[in-house]
Amino acid sequence: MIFLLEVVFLFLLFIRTLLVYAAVIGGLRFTGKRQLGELSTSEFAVTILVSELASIPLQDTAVPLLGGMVPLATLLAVEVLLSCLCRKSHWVRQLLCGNPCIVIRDGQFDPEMLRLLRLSPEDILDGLRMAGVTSMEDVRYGIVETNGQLSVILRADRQPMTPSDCLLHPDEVGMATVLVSEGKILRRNARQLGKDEQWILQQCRRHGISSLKDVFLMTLDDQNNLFLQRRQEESV
Amino acid sequence: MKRMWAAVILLFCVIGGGWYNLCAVSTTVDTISASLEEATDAARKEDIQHAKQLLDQAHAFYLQKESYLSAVVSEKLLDEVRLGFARTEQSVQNGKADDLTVELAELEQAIDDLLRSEAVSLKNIF
Repeated sequence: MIFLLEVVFLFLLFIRTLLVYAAVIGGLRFTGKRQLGELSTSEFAVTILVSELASIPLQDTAVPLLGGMVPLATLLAVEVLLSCLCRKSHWVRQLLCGNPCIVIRDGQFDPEMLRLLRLSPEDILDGLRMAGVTSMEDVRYGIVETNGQLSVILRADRQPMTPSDCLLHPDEVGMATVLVSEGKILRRNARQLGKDEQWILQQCRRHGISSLKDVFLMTLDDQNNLFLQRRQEESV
Repeated sequence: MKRMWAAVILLFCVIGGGWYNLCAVSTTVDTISASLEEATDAARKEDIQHAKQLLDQAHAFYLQKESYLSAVVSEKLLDEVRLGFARTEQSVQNGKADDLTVELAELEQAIDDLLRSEAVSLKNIF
């Protein structure tokens, strides 16, 4: 009897975990790509709180599921509304996210700004190295963004050379779109590029592939550059 | 824009749901408490039969609302209520009016705790 109760309890916990997981994933998707990218202050706070709130009904089954879902829904809804408000109002954006701060100008630190941000020069040098910059003299501006990342703008004569600097005009690069992934046609992508299954099969045959099942990946970009990779046989 | 409106609707649902929950729990607690108070009065007058009738009425009403309460109230509080009903029924079977009065008072306290946990108050917020 006790064993049966234990099994039922574990099963209930299993169901609860799935529901909470679905709610968290759904909720984070609801907040949009902002949440999944680099985080600003409010987004960072929301991400931490979401994980804590979601675990409440999992830690104690005596707590109703709504005890975790309602705060989760509230938090995510408020986050979305605040992000919309930030978009509309510069003042709200400034209040919630702050402003980017220039900490390096023309290769020189701004000590006052470092003091306000409570950063040391070593912290900034760490950021410069991560940005691939080894010399302060190369830096025109170093900016601490609202999400804490350091952006570096190099001096003009230290910028990487581009084809236009050499008066070259290379062909435009395209953006590759996946047409076939692991044997399956992505019809929406194919429609966007104006291609159909017949065309895809024709391309496969040109590359000596008789069946879509043998295609690992096929991409096409807007410059009509095709990439095709055959599926390798799985090792036993 | 769609996401913003979805967020507004979600917030309204949360606030509306919270308000509905407060009203629903309040109504349930008031109904059960009224029956329990009458049962307590009957027990004080040593009218065990009448007290039993009122207690059964309160218990039946509680069982009707239990599914909803399980979804919104902590199981620990509901366990106290279930225990309270079990003890009062035992006291009724024993036929001791004094014990029944005490158990009914404790049961009323457990029922009041259901509403206290849901009430919008500074104490609950902090």
